[in-house]
Formats: sequence, structure tokens, C-alpha cells
Amino acid sequence: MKVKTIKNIILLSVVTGVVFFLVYLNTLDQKIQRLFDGARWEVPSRVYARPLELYEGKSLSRSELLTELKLLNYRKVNSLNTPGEYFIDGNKVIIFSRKFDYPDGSEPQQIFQIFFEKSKITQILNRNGKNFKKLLRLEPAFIGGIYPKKLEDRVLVNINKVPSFLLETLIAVEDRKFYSHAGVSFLSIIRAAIANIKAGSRVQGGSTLTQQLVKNFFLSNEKTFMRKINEAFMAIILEIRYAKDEILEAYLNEVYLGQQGRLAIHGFGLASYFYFAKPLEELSKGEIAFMVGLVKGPSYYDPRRFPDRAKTRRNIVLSTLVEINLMSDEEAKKYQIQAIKVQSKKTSALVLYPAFIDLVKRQLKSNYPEEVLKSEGLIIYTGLDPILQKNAEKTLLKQLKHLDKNVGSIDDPLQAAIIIAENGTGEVQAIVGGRQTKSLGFNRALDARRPIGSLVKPAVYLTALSRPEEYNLVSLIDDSRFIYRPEFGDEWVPKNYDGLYHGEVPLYIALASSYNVATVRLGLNLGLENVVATLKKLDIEIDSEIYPSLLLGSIDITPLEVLKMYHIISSDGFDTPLQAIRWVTNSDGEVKNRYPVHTIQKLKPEPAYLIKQALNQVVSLGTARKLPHLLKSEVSVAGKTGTTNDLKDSWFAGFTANKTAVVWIGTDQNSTTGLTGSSGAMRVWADIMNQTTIRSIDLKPPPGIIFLPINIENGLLSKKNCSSAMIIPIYKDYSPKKEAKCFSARSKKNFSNWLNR
Amino acid sequence: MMKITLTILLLVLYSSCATHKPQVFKTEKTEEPAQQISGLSYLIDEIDLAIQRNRFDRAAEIAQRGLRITPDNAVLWQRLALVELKLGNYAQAEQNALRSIRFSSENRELIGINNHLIAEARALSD
Repeated sequence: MKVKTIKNIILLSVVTGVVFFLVYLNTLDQKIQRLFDGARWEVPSRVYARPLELYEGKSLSRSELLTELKLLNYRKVNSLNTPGEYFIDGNKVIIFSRKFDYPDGSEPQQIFQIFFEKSKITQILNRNGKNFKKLLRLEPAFIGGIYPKKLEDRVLVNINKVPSFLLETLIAVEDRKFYSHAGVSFLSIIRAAIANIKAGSRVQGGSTLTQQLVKNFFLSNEKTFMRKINEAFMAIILEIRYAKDEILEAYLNEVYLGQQGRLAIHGFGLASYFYFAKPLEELSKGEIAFMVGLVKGPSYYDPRRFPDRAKTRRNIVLSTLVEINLMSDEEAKKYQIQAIKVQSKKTSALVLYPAFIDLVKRQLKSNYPEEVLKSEGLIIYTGLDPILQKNAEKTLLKQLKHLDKNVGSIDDPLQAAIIIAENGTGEVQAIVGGRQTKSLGFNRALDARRPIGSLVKPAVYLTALSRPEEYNLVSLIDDSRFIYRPEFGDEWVPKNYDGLYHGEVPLYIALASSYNVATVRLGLNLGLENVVATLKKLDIEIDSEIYPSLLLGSIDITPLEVLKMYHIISSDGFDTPLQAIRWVTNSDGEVKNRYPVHTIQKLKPEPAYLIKQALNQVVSLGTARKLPHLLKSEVSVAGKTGTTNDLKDSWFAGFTANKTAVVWIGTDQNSTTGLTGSSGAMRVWADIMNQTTIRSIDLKPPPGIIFLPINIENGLLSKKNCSSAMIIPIYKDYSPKKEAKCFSARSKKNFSNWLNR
Repeated sequence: MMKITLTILLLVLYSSCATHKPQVFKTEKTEEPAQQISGLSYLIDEIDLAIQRNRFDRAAEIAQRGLRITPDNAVLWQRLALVELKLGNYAQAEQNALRSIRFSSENRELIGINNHLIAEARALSD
């Protein structure tokens, strides 16, 4: 009886134990499946610039190309052996390009020679000296990530695309029985234990790759007996549930391999870029040996801090490869004497152009919640032009430094914003959000709402020019003293910048000279609501109550909104929404979202053309007349200066045939800057344009416009050679039919005066 | 006598000023026309091939690549208009054709093609 009871107790204990054990295993299994079957990692989205297109005739200097190659981590060599290399031979640069997949087509790796002359590509030849039929381009540069809170980064690799030498070396060094054990290798544990006892310290680990993966992926770093038990069982379950290659691939992507500031570098895919600035497939065997050696202790063997340790460790790995006949002794020795050439200066900035990435995030917001952007490894292709961006940043800092000497106060330093778009496609190509270009902070290009001053005036004149029965470019506008008497409230007496009144002036002169009084009179005649309607067509929404001071720019809008407005004008009245993004793909390259070019005509061709002509006059003879002298090339441009009360804001919005750009200079606390639009922002604008390719605006008239000599005094048709005649673009259907007499002393006097006052 | 001479001189000066007045408003670009982009015709051939094969999304992608290189190219805007028409995006087809016309300059043939395309887009959208 006693024996039976004992037996029963034992049996019950065993059964209970087995049940508990099974529940325990099931819990581990559930955990493994939950984490391993779903999205295994929070993979940051990666953001790329535009690929650099290369073709004969392109305006691109040799140094600009070298800047791009540096950004792409191409290596300067004496002879080309592998993709990602280039060498310079006089006026030509020979490149061994990398192959890459881009959403609109793939590019093969190839060697080509680019010839330069005066900042222009004159010829592109293949390695046999023949021309290319197709357009060439270089892969887009990585410009930043959208990172999860747990600051980890990785570039996921597929085991089938990983160099076999890496897999062989990893297995040889970390777990030689990987393909034969069941997750745990008891022999390895015993061997390691003996080695550790002999050495008196921990010199060898007995964990398999599967155990290491389990430890890193599912468990904490605590060193307890229970954790070791969990690790062993989970490794066995993992091996039962998943194929060896799947486990190995997870290991390749999970393993911790370094630290960039606060950002943890995980996986061989990213580590390859982090240490050698090139993809895994371009690594030499010596570099692969180093990376495998690094698994043992990324901090201890950090090649930047401890190059000798790193070299010793790499050489041990190479010797191991010789031992197991994976490498000849001779080959190993060749690598062993080499230094580990890691890229020396790894920038600590996680994002190269934070103000631009800020816009990217905002534009993605409607399609992708922030959490998705931070975790699903999306690839975001943008239109950012890194060369233009760098030049804009450099120019701004240089100009602000110069202006600081004259006007800046330390308490409220000068700040600025720049935003540049490509005409036609509406792609935003560069953004500077302030002086601190490498940290985001307040993004003034997108968020600084400031009064725009005279930048609003084209909307007033555009409203007038949309009424051909009443106005043309030489219609006389009254710039004499004017008192606005509202029904309620105080009187308002608008004043010109020069404090003078100019009498009757032709419409284009009133805009070019930015006369306030004439503009207010004109705007009130047109009706404030009609000017607001024009602003709406130009993508500027006025939500607040409307006052006549709106006509002089007392509306607070951002540089981005100003860009939208001027981009429509520069594009002949077509609105092509400004966008930073071209495509979003998943990590396999499958396109999730396209951001195609959409265009819609917001302004009729005729007024759109006339306002472009008038804004060209601003540059020819108006407030921006110094601009042509600041530009290095003789190109015809158009634009408008803007200065607000007490010189608090200095604006310039201008365009060429291919670019529209807005520059704002002011201070965060709204202090006076001492700058007008032309003495501040316009100089920055010119300086940036001097460093990029710009082309003259197209002033060919649309079919509804003809050029006719008009008597500027009375608006009648005139003979060409009359002193009072001016040949102006005018609506064909509204051109005057009646011809004026030729000579008028008054008009001649007036004309010369308009230009001089 | 002095007065008469001065008057004649002023009249001569006046008339010379009057007849050699600079034209304030320009009509043309002041620079040389942009150099022909090598490879662009290959790109246009690729677009046409994609259209022939009914691969309209592909054709649109290539056309947009071209427009990023040369945004005021009338032929590329026309091809993009055609692609949008084929995709049933009639309003966008019309807008692209209008844009093409704006850049077409003196190319009557291209303007004609675009006008035809606009008419077709309008008819189809009714």
C-alpha cells in the first residue's frame, strides 16, 4: 500500500512535470512563432535622392560629379576593377558604375568615360570609345532614414544574394556544425567549458548560431541559468519550426555589429556600408573576414578606435580559414598584411538633410502612419538634388556670416530659409530650414509664417491683366497720395518705400518699382475679393478677414506657400503640385505608391504670359535690377523682391526656365534685419543660381498675345517710331484699333521720368 | 543763329532717340537654344514602344523621367498626354496636351496633334 502510494505520487509528479514542461515548451513555441512569423524587425524607411542623369550637353562640372561620387562612396583608384570605383584622367572621369534597380528601370554596372569642358559634359563614351545610345545615370544617394524609437538600423539581406564566402566564413568561425546540429551542440558546450576552465576565464563560447540568434532576438542579456535553459529549448524549437537557411538569414540581419552615435548597427547588410561604404557584394575576402571577426565584440574590435585589435582579430579569422582549407595560406597572408581600410569619417548625422526629410514625412503622412514609416523598411525615392542642396546650404551660411557683420544681433541672430523646385515637374529639389542645416529644429522653409510684403503684388497685377478690356501692361495707374477711409476704424495712408508719390505710371512700372500707393489704388479698384480669388488660383488661401493692407502683403505665409504661388506663375499658369517624392516601394522594390506629375491650368495663357513679362521687368529695370549683375551667366530671369515693415523680412522669389526658388531672411523674434529684399534675400538667390544650371525664361507669346506699338500716354495704337510708343505684348482680341498721333512732348517726358523716379 | 543750331541739334538727338528706342519687352530667349540631349530620342522611342505594347504605366514612367531632365519638352508632354488618354485619365490628358502646346513654339504639326488629342479627350469624357 505504501509502495503503491509512493508510486502514485511519483507518477502524478511525473505527469504534472510533463504537463508543465509541455506548457512551458508551448509558451516558448508561441513566443517564437509570434515574433518570427510576423515582421521580425522594426526596419527604418530609407530615403534616397534623385539618381544623377548623365548625358552629353548636361551642365555639370567635374567637381560636381566628384561631389556626387563622394556622396555615393565611390572609391578613387588608379585602375578600375570593381563597381563603385573611378579614376580621373585630365578632363575626363572614368567610372565603373554600380548596377541598381530604380522604380522606372534598372541600370547595369558599366564602365564609361565622361569628358568635361567648362562645367559641361561634352562627351560620354563606353570603354571601347563608342557613344551610348541610352541615357546614363548613377544610383541615387542615401540621404537618411526614418528611424524607430529604439534606434536600430539595418539593411535587410536575402541569403541567396549574400556572398557565399561570407556564409562559409561565418559558419567556420562561429558554428562549424551549424548544418548538422539541432539548435544546441553539446559537444561545443563541453569543448568550450574545458577551454574556459583551462584558461581560467571565458575564452570560448559554446553557443551555436541558432542560440546566438535566440539570445539576441527573443531574450535579454541577463546571465542567469534560467535564460540559458530558455535559450537552449528555444533554439531547438526554432530548428524544428524553421529551415536552416531561414535561421541563418535571420542571424545575418539580426547580429549587432557596431554603433553610430545613438544608432545601433545591426546585420551585415548595413555594417558593410557602415564600415566600408559599399554593398556586401563589393567586399573583399579580407573585409569579410574582418566583419565576421567583429561578431565576437563590435566595441572591443572597433576598427576606428582599436585598429590593432581589429587587425589581430581579422587575421585570426583568416588563419582559421586556412586551417579548414577555405583559403590558401598565400591568399591569407596577402590579406593579413593589409590594413583595415574602414571609411574614416562616419558622419554622426542620421539624416543628411533633415529639412528635406521633414517635407518627405509630411507628404507621406496621408498614406503612411508614422509607425509604418519607422518600421516597415520602406524605400522612399525623392527628387532631392544633393549638389543643389549642398550649394544652397553652403551659400546661405556664407551669406549669413557676411550679413551678420552688418546687421545680426547675437540675441536674435539672422535666420533664413530656402526652397527650390524644378519647373515643369514641380519637384522640390532643395530645402534649407535655417542656419542649423544638420539638425531639424524649426523648419522655417515649411513653418515660418511671415508677412510677405511685396511678394503678394503679382496677384494684384495679375487680377488686372486678366481684364484685358480694362488693363494692359502700360495702362496708367495712379500713384498719387491716397487716403483709405473705412466705414469704421482709422484712416490708412499707404506710403511708398522712397516716401514719394509718382503720379500716373504704366502698370508694369508700378509693379517693377513696387509702388505701394499705385498697388493699393489698383487693388481696391479691382476689388479685394477678386485679388483674393487670384491668390486662391495661385494656391494661397486667405482664411482671415480681408483688409486693404493685404494688397501690400500683410498676410503671413510660409516660404513653401510662396514657392507654390511663384511656381504657378513660372509654369505659364499651370499648377503642378510641389512634391518631394517620386515613389515609395517596399524593401523588395515593389512599388506601393507613385507620385506622378499632375498638371492643371490655373491661369489663362495670356495673363500668365503678361505677368511673367512684368516680373521680367522687375529684374530689368525695377527693384531687382541689380540681379543681372549678380548673376554670372547672361540669362533672362523674373522675380519679385519683398521687404516688410521696419525691414523685418527680406524676401526674394524668382524663377528661370527650369527653377523656381524662394529665399527668406529674417529673425525668429521678428527683429529688424536692416535688409531689403534686394540687399538680402536676392543676393542669396543669385549666389545659389550661380552654382547651378539655369536657363532663360521662355518669353515666346502664346497665340492670344501679339506685340504692338502702343502710345503709352493714351493707350492707343501708335507708329513704331513715335517717341511715345512702346512695343508691348497685348491681348490680340483686345488690342486698340484706333491710332494715336505720333508726337507728344508730355508723354516723352513722362516716359523718361517713370524710369528714373 | 546759336538758337537755331541748338534746336536742330536737339531735333536730331530727339529723332535718333525716337527711332533707336530699346525694346523693353523681350519676345525670345536671349541665350542659344539648349543643346540636344543625347539619349532623349532613345527615351522617346522607348515610350512609343511601351505605348504600342499597351504598357501605359511604363510609358508614363519613362516620359516622366524625360520631363525631369527637360521639363519644357513639348514632345514628352504630348506623349504623357497620350498615355493619360489611353489610361482613361481624360482631364489630365487634356492638361498635358495644353502644356505641350505651350512649349510647341512653331511646331504646327505637334500643335495639331495636341488639339486633336484634346478634342478626343473632351469627347471621351462627356
